[in-house]
Amino acid sequence: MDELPIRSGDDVVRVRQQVRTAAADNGLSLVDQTKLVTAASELARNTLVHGGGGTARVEVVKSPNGRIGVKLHFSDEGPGIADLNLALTDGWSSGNGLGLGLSGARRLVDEFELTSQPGTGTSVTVVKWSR
Amino acid sequence: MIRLQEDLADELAATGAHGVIIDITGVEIVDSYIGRMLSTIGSISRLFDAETVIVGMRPAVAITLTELGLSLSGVRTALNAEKGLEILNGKSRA
Amino acid sequence: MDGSAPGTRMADYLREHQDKVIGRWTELVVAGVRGRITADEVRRELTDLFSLVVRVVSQADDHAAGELRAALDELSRGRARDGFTPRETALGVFTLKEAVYELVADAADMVPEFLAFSQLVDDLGLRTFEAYSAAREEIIADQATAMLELSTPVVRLWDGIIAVPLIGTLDSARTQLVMEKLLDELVATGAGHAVIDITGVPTVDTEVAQHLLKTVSAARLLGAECTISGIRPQVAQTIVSLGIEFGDIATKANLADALALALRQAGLKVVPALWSKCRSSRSGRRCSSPSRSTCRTRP
Repeated sequence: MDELPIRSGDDVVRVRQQVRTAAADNGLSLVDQTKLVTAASELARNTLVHGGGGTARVEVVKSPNGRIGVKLHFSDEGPGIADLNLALTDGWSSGNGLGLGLSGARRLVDEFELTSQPGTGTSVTVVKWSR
Repeated sequence: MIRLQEDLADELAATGAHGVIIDITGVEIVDSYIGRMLSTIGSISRLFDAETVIVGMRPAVAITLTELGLSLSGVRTALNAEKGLEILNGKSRA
Repeated sequence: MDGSAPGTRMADYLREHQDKVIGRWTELVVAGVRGRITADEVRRELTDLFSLVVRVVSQADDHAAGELRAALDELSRGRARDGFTPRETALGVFTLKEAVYELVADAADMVPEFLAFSQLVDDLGLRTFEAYSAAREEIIADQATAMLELSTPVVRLWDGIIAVPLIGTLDSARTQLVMEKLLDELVATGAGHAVIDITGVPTVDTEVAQHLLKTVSAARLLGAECTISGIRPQVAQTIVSLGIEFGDIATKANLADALALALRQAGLKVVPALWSKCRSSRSGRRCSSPSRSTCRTRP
């Protein structure tokens, strides 16, 4: 398990590289790798831009029936999200920059968990399984 | 990315070019941030009466963008630079 | 009551009668596999398992349980792959109980120990069954993937025009595969036009339509234009009644119409071939009439 700081744009790049390596090393197809790294990029940027910086964790996991997957965890101690439902709706597909990219990131992964408390922070956990 | 936009604006103003081709063959990841940048470049180009064509998108990136729901508004896409040029020069009927 | 660990008596008993137990166990298992595995092979497998079981029973070390589980999982997976039934596989474990019981049946003082042992074997048997199930599901999933691959061809119709004839339902897994194959082919051939034929797709509901739209979006990002062909009358009605909009994507009733459209868009036209068998062409003068009947240089 690796814990990475997210304090700058360079950190986002490092997170992407780490995720790419983990995905490639654990049997994810090229398309799945791309999806996971893209989701990681979205979530890392959110942590940086909206969360005021935070951390990312990359983990390799195993499902009960033996499949291998890559689990990512992003957390920050920022302002948090007041309306989770609103944050997860598809209001940003035109790329207008106001959306948090969460709904898109969710579509790219197999498992998605979001917890947020206004004033305390936000944490997002996602998993992508190899096929 | 911001510098790219500035350089591009300068270049368009200086040359009066009518088209911009952005080759992303080497780009492995396009997230919403980069997507927005590309759309912004399209908007900037249009202010100079130039059209922007993105070429060389990798299949994995295209599939991811579609899943992400990101529509690159304001720019066109083509398979490669050659086809991109055809579009810009009005040869393609597409 | 001696102060040793609970399983020690059973473990000692098992070790004492090792050969007899393994012998009987082997007999019972061999009877169950009906000749598909040799008796020697079975005996070897069971001897390994037996020593692991004894270690677990004696509770001597912490690793034994994990090793036993791993060994059983491996064995079950092998059985599943080789086509043994679930019963045959599980019996391989449960027969150990029978073999031991036959020996302790007359020793009343071993009853409590045997009960505990019996529970352990039951647990192992269930675990074996689970591992077997999981292995079977894996095999089925692999076969499904193989079938999916086979039923998703991408064909070249003409220079720059490729087609994807879809047969069967279009679900999310299929769509991913179609997109991957279609896009890879677009890059490989440099095609500018893709025809997605849905004649073989039985129902087109909102979900299927979304998958189609996604596929077209992805192809467009690679600069290819798409046409959806194979819209049957009933399908057309369903699409309209569901309020599905295909927007600016061209749709045609059949592949032929779609090909004609694609050719038109590529600036190509299909015309009758010039009749070139005019006899005078042998003498050097070539008749340009389109058919034999209007040839002017007929001798």
